[in-house]
Amino acid sequence: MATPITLVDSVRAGEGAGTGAGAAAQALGGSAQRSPGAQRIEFNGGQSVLVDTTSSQGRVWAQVLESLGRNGQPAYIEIDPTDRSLTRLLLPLVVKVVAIQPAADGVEVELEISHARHVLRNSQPEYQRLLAALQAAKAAATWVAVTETPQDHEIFDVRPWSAGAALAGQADPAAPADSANPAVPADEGDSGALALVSLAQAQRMFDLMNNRVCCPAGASSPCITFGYPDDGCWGRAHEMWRLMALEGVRADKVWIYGGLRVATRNHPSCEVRWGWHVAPTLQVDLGGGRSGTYVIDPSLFPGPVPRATWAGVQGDPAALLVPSAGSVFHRSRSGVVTLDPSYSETNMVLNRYRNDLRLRATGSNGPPPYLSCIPAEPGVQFRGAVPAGATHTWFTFGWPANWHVLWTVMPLTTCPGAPALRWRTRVERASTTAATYWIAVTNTSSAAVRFEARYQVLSR
Amino acid sequence: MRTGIQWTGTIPANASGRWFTFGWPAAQHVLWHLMPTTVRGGGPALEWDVAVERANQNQTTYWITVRNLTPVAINFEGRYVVLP
Repeated sequence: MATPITLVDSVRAGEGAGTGAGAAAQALGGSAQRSPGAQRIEFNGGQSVLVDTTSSQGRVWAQVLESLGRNGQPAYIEIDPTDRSLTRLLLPLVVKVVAIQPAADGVEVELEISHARHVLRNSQPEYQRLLAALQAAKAAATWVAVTETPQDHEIFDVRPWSAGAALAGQADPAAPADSANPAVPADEGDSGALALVSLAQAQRMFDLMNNRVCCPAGASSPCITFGYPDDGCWGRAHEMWRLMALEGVRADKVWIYGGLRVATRNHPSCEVRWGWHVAPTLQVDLGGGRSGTYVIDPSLFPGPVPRATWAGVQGDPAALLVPSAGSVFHRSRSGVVTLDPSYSETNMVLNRYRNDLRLRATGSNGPPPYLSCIPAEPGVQFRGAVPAGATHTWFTFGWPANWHVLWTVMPLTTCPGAPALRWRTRVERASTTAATYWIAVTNTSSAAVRFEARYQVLSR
Repeated sequence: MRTGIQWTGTIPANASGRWFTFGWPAAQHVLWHLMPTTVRGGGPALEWDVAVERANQNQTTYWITVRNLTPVAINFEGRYVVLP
């Protein structure tokens, strides 16, 4: 395969579905044959690429590129020079370099704003050039577009990005910035709001947030990216704060800084590493004149948890905890605070990580959760995945034929709004004493779904 | 084991309809079945199938599609069993 053309550029605004085949041939010098399902995307620098929208990944790539075009956000793309097809799409971080620290096999790079831990490994072929680019950006406090591997956050491309400042505060027009995403006053949004809530109210707030979870492959506004724990917590936290304020509940926030390492089933390697993290908090009335700070963080927990519990799972006993007003959009490690009263940056952050989630879900690892991260549980016979629109059949053998066994299927991939799976159980009498069950699972949705097949022995 | 009636409904003659019921703990094993309350002999009246949605990390929504196999409207109960 020819060496791909690599490009970091903004999608030309207005480019998207429906560009004509003739125009595409002209743009490509007439050399490329455009397949019927190909969509041409143009970039501001003059390059164009064809995206095969007949595949689920291609459709998501096209949607993500259109989203980036609306937001003026850059894409990192690799193009096959033989047919101009898109072979790789990643989302660079447009950031400033805050710190570069030596690490065992290179350097660890703190980028702002990002709570993920980024590394530049000295095994990287262009290590010295990339390190110099990061150091120069840090010294001059200039914006850079940093591209990294999507799982391990290993930096492999750094470019100056002059439009970085213009990106700040630019919301996705498709995001509910006004009527569907009403603002609350930036000065806490607490006029008349409940400052002390019951545990039941805290649970209700949690459920309200949790129900906003994104479908991985179809993540779109107004969902919240709890299934993409790698990065973007400050956007999630601010959106939750806004939603709670609209419910008449005053939330604050808690920030944690340290060498954080968190187990998660929503990352292919089953853990994420952070330099910091933030989530909204509620003051909960515990009765008897006591109250406690509970954290609402569906990216980590299935319900509201005490602040100490929240901090305790993040892998750094020496981590620094700092409470703040809920209106604080971002608080740097050094204590510099920024607000986002219009929610434009919140929407941009949410939109960016929705796109990351979509790319991950349609990539080689498939959608979260990742089965290797989920421990075996009693009553679960097997776990698997079914592609969009497909039916796959599993069998499980050696069951005593005199047992009464029932089977159910439960999706593990969260995707609210529509049914995802149905199943049919058939049975084979394999011997005088044993039965084999055949479970056909049908995915009725438009994206891959992971699931578990559960059994219940009613009598033996 | 716990059983109950989640809803009652009517399905027109030879028609199908779909109901959903939400907020079920995802950790539970829940089975669904129907029972006609319209008495009509001579053959089966209803068939159904169940689809499932994972609404969030804790909760499930069940979607039950009901088909009326008869030429008359049928009233029915949507029943559940929560297995231990």
